Amino acid sequence: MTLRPTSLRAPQTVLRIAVAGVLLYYAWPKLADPFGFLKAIHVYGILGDAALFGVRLENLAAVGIPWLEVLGALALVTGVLRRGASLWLVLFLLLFTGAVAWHAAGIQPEVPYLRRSFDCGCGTGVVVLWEKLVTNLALVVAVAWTGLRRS
Amino acid sequence: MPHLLRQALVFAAVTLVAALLANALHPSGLSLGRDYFLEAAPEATGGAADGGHALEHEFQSVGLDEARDWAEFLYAPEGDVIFLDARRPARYREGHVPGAYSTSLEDEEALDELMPKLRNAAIVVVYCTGGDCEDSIFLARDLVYRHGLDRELIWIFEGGWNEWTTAGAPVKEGPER
Repeated sequence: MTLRPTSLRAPQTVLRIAVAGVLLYYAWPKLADPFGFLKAIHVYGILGDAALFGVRLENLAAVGIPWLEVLGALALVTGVLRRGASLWLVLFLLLFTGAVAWHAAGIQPEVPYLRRSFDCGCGTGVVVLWEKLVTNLALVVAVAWTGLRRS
Repeated sequence: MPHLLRQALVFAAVTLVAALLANALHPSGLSLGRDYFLEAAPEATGGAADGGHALEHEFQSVGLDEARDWAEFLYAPEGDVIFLDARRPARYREGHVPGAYSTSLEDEEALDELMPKLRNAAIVVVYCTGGDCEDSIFLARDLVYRHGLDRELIWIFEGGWNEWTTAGAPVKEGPER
């Protein structure tokens, strides 16, 4: 038996709304406390002192990422710019997941790698690495499946 | 240009505009060009600054006993001794060293207002939570490298808030110093 595209619409819509809810949940603490999020990003040291036209990319990321999540969530729900937003969300989630995994490699050497816990700056406080990796990869799959497909 | 890429570019532009606008209107918006996490100047560490490890700082350190002695003078009218609480404002309101000023790094106005007092002080003690907390060091660097305060005035209380409260030292709650 094969599922016809129309039979997938309802589960895709439900999943899209669920993913949007998660993204908004992640965005809220970052929007409320931009400096707190900047500190969290700084810990990763990925962007370092990089700047463009006098704007530090680390600061720009702290300002921009929460809005990527908010507008990405809106795009998933409304369908406006959905595929373009989903592309950014997938890229961002993959990049951030890689950064989290890389950061965990450098901390708490006495704890098994996948059980290391820290505040990843994701908006959810302290997380255990394996849980964060599973959650993020599930989000990547969900966004790609529901958002990148041509309707 | 493929449809997907065109949508992605439009979405990026919309997101950027929304983010910049929101940041400009946010009461705690970031200064986009400011380096909030200054590293030690090479001359301050004799050229040995490792740059990446903030806890190896270039300032003088003060222990709990001396910090408590100095804290006795925090309400003296001369203002020779000043304590700066580098933690987030919410943490300060939950409890702080009586007489300490709340000076979280993102609050540029509060820092600017304090500068005349700091320049007249003989001792400026900076603390944050303690342990791995780096906020006191980033604040101290901001005061020295951005505001031009004499580095010799600054003392880092590394034990910070955790050591202060564990020792049963006096605590004040609320927004007032």
